[in-house]
Amino acid sequence: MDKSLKADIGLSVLWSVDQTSSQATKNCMWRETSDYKSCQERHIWERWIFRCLTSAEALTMDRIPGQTGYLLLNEEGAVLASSGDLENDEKAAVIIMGLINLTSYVDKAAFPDESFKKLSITYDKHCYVICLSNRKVHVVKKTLTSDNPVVA
Amino acid sequence: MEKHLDRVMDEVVNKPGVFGCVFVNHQGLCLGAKGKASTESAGLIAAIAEQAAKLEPHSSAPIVTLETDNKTCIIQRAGTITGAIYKNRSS
Repeated sequence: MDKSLKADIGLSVLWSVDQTSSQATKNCMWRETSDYKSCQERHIWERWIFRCLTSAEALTMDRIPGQTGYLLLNEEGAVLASSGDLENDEKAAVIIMGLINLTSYVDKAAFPDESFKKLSITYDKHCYVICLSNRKVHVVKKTLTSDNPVVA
Repeated sequence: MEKHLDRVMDEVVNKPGVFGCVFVNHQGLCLGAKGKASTESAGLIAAIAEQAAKLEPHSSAPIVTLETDNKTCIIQRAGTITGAIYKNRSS
């Protein structure tokens, strides 16, 4: 557990992160509203929970086979987590958010009442895979090998 | 004048699993559409290809794949023409 977060809130908390899934709140100790001594304490607590969830999602992306980098963005395009080739790559984040806005509805005749679940950008030897989940944008950069081809 | 393009579109739509295609010029104007495809999406298709190319300006044009549960839209720019192919995912 991130010790700086513990010091941040000054509370002792029992929690664990199931790293095979994104269930960061699995054993988290929630506090009732009346337990908060102040609004500031509640704000710190909620911010900590948010950071746990974001960290868990980033950990999951870290484990994808062949990945050389990832980006985790919020719905406004701000970078929540990044790693590898995409570390601190805000330029890529802006381009990808622009792409997502464009692809909301491509062709009503071909895809009526459907929105896209996954977006891939494939080059010769690597690709970017983008999907939306839990109100966040997940971007993974992966190398393409003969064992790991991308099928259209 | 568009006979060659028509022929190419017929060939594309006759491939297994393909149910539509659209071809667009560099300005986003529709050159042709075949099958279950709308000419109105021409501008968007060109814009998507152009936006995706900005990710790696020094690399060749990428293939953009948009996937729903059952269908796929594949977009790529080649020279001044951008093509979009709509396929069913089962094939």
